[in-house]
Amino acid sequence: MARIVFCEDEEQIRKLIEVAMRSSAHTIEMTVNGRDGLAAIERLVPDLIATDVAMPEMDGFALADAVHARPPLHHIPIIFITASVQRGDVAQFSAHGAAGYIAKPFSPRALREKIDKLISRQPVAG
Amino acid sequence: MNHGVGMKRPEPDGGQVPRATSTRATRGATIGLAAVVFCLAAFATFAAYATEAQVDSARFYESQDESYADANAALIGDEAAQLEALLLPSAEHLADRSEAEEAVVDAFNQIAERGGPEDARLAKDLLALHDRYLLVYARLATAAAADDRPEVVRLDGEEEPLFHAMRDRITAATAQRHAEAESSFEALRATTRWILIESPVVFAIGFGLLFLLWRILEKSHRATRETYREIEQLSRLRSEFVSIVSHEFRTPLTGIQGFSEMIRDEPLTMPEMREYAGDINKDARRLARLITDMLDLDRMESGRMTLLSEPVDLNRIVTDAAAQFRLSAADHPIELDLDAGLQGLVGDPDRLTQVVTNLVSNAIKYSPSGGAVELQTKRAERTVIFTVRDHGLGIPAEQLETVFDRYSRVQTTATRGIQGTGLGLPIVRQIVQLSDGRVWATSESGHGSVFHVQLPLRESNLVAPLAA
Repeated sequence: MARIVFCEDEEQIRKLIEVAMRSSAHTIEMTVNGRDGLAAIERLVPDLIATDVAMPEMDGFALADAVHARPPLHHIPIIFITASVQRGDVAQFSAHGAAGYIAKPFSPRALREKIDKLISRQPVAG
Repeated sequence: MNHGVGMKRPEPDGGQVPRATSTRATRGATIGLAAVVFCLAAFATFAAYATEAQVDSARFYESQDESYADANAALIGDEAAQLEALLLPSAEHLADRSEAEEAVVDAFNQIAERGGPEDARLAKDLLALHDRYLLVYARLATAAAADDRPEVVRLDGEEEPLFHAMRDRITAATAQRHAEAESSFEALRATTRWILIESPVVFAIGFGLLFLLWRILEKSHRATRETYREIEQLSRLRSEFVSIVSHEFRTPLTGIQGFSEMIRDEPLTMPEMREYAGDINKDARRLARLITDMLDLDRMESGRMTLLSEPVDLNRIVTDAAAQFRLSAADHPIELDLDAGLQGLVGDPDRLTQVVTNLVSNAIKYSPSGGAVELQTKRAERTVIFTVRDHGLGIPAEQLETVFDRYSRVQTTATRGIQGTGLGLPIVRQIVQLSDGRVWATSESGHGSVFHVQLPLRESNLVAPLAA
């Protein structure tokens, strides 16, 4: 069982993620923007971070940079859940140290599988 | 109800910096100035040259006059010697010098009188040789005095060919020298005339043609640049549009796809299924709104939308919108200041509702830290002014006009992530303009914004259709 912090400003998508992750074994912490997400990450030190890109207050890229700049957190894999998957976006994801990305619209099952795959690569904390 | 102003767009791709047209103007002015300076310098140089040529010409003729006698002396040398030999024997007994000189003068004056102007000239030249041939002439004169002067002076005809030969040769040589000089100076004068009169004209015409050509090329180049910029702009707008549409469509599609898959694949209870179906419905309606907004704006901008024209209660529209937003945005107190005396507003109620909701939604959206939104209606002569005041991020002065352009949302670090397609305010402007009104924004960046909508008040029975 792993702990995952999600950052997503769209209420409907937050709800979908919560519903989709109900059947998984992981514990999730849902936040509404990068700033809240970073606070949760510092508090929980999760096993995985899944974040939207375009968000108010602090966007996903800024969040990823902030996480990578903090030694206690920089090992945590980050995946972007994004509607911007045009040419050039994927290169940006890599530039911000993403372990992967999920394009919107996504299947709840595909989300779970992607997260499970990334978690299985990591030594589970706690 | 949120008419397309509650959606997000991707990261901006950088602002388009307008090119400085002043640089081009400065360059043109510099080139023009350089051309004028060059022409003036060239003209001054040529004028100096021409003046010098005129001076040279004058000097030549002056020197010609001075050297005329010397030149003739050289020419008549041979004949003079022959004349001396001819006359010498008859002047052997010359005595008094002054008498001789007088005789010489007389003799040659007589020679001169016998002929035309050329002979007179010749005589004068011979007199100039006075010093050298004085002796000869004196002898001649003496001889003439002794042996009946007129006869001697008339001589016996042998000297005639000599005089004529001298005269002809001198005349020819003089004529030739003058012809050569005239030819040379004519060329010089032609050059001078060209430099002083014709060349400036040619320069001016040439410069004018070059300037005209430059202007034509510049204009053509500017038009090309303008076209290129428009194409670039259109291309950028198209890319943005595709990007925004792609992004905005994907968000509700995520809910539709996700919740429908949940219903299909997961063992759910009936209430859960109903709830997810409701979520799907909400996202589907959001998608429909987005499409409607895009199509509406397109129809308005292309003049294909006709607005209704019926009495409108603006205060009711504002009150209803406020009630709706109080529910959905509880952290933004909405304050009303309505003019109870508003009457005579005619328009399309649904579209004016869209104007009010878009502006209120905008005010709330750009006040991320909360804060009151104040709505006011006020009669001003034969118009009504509706204002929406917020205490949010504000709008930089240079963007007060462009916020009404399609996709021209204020992009700053603070607004990044604020949702919106950039269609809300363009729709407001289109509706207001189709209603014969106007809309504008005032703001102090960082201290909120005020959006003003001014609509004409009309007598109901004078109402005409608002749009063709």
